[in-house]
Amino acid sequence: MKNDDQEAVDLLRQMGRLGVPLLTPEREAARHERMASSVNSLLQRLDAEPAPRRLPVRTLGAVAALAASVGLWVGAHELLRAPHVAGATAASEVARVVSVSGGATLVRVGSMPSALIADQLLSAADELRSGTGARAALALSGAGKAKVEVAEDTRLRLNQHPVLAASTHEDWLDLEQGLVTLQVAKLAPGLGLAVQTPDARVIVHGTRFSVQVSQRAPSGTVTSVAVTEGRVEVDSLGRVVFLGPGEHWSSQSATPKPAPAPASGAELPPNVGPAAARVAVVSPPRTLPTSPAAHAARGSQSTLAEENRLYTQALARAGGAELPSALSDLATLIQRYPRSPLAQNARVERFRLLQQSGNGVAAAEEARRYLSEYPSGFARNEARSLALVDLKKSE
Amino acid sequence: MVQPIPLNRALRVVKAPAHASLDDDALLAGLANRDPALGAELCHRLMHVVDGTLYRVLGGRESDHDDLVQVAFEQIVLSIQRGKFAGECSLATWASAITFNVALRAIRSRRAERKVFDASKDVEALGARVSGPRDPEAQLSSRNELDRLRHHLSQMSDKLAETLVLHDMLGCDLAETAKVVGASVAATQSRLVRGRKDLTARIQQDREAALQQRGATR
Repeated sequence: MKNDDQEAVDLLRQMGRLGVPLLTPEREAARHERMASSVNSLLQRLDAEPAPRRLPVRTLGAVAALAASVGLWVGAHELLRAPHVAGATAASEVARVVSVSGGATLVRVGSMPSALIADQLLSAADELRSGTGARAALALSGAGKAKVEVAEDTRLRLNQHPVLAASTHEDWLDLEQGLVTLQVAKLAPGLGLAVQTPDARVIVHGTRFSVQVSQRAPSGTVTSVAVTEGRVEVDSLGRVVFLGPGEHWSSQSATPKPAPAPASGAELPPNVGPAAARVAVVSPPRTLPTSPAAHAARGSQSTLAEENRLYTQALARAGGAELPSALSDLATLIQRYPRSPLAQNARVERFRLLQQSGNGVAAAEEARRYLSEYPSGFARNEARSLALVDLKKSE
Repeated sequence: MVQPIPLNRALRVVKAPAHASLDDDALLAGLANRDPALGAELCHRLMHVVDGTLYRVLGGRESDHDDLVQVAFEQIVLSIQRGKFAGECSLATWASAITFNVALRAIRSRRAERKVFDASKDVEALGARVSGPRDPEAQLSSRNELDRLRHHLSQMSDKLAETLVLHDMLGCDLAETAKVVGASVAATQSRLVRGRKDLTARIQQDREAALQQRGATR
């Protein structure tokens, strides 16, 4: 190396030796959880997509010509037979940005985050992040041609799952945080639209509604749903509840009951009129992880006895071969007391019991959920092997 | 006669790794098979690499830092899933290279949006960005030089910048650098020489421009 270059090399080495300030444990844990969730989500999306294949150029030409002719025929046929399905799947875009105000970001897999702009076309798996004071309006191209209003401080991912053979088509929105308001026309048979939150899946049957998640933390959210008009299906931890006008559901109580408004008192957009159904999925402000002692102390003030009762009852029922009841008790414990010291044990018992009952797929799913929530949990190796075994079986 | 070694010298307690889990091969196999349960493991394994590389190349954690961490992880997963990572270097080195490219694009993108790197920026204008008890002025100057270095790297060709960073900043040897950049050792050596020359020339030009500007203001 020439001496002339020494300064450049020294600067590079200096850069490589820069100390990186540590984050607080809470922020580190939150970031770890967010990244793990993002990677898992990406892997799931990849799992749903066919693996990319590279074809020779000559073959590509022939395939393109063939595809064009077949596509024209199929397109014309589908347009004549079922215009809504053909129209929805002709393009890969699942939505269009109608308007944007303030700073909103589009995060597309494999690309750098970029500013969201009006008239931009959005594809499946795109993620939107609105900053403080920002708002965006989207028009979905799929089910119901829904209009989506994205409020500030929201993280939303768009997904679409078309199944042409069965003439079914499902859009869903992964709402990680924030508030979205949807206006949906009556859906034709075979079309579906859902909003997935950390706690529940809210399935639309033609209505106008809002969904809000204030923060996402490991087992730290509570979902509340209130309907004034229309029909909404809520699926949470395997339990399905249909809500009609005036009914209210919360993941804490898990039973529908009359309620005039969302439990959180969250401010809903003014365009959600009284004639529309309203669904608010809210969660309490995020509580940063605290020490086990603090957990125990908090629990002992009020609910520890009930947590213990649910847990021991579940174990007793499992021992008595009442697996469905035991699973239900554990689910209730997790739902009602997500910060309980017993929540992790309950999650572990659930995937063990599901495995014991012969439901390997559900057990693997539960194991993955456990890994996502407790990446360093005491049963992580057991959960990983369970998830991997299920994966190998499916292959 | 051989003296027996006292037990308290021969044996010592070795702390087991906090997360003894999948090895690299098992992790890569799981990711290649799109196992949606391995995100936490990957993040646990590579978070310090990704975060550290971004911090060093960008010079701090700005508001979009977590977004860039996420983009880097997504790129790492995609590269593994598409079979681009052949295991010829360590997973950490591979992750560093990918993260560096993410950081480089972020620098270019930021520069396009706002003039972060202003050639006329005075040392004093940087403010107290480095806490140094001994010679704050020298540290500020050093910090300014690193900012300029980041700017120069973003101006250079990707191949040269990547080779320089892998070899001179991250400390990879020539063979490992060659594997990561996908070139022969000879070609990598050539890139390294050209990269250093290019960078040195830019630093000198920068210095001359600053001197001229200082003279003009007087």
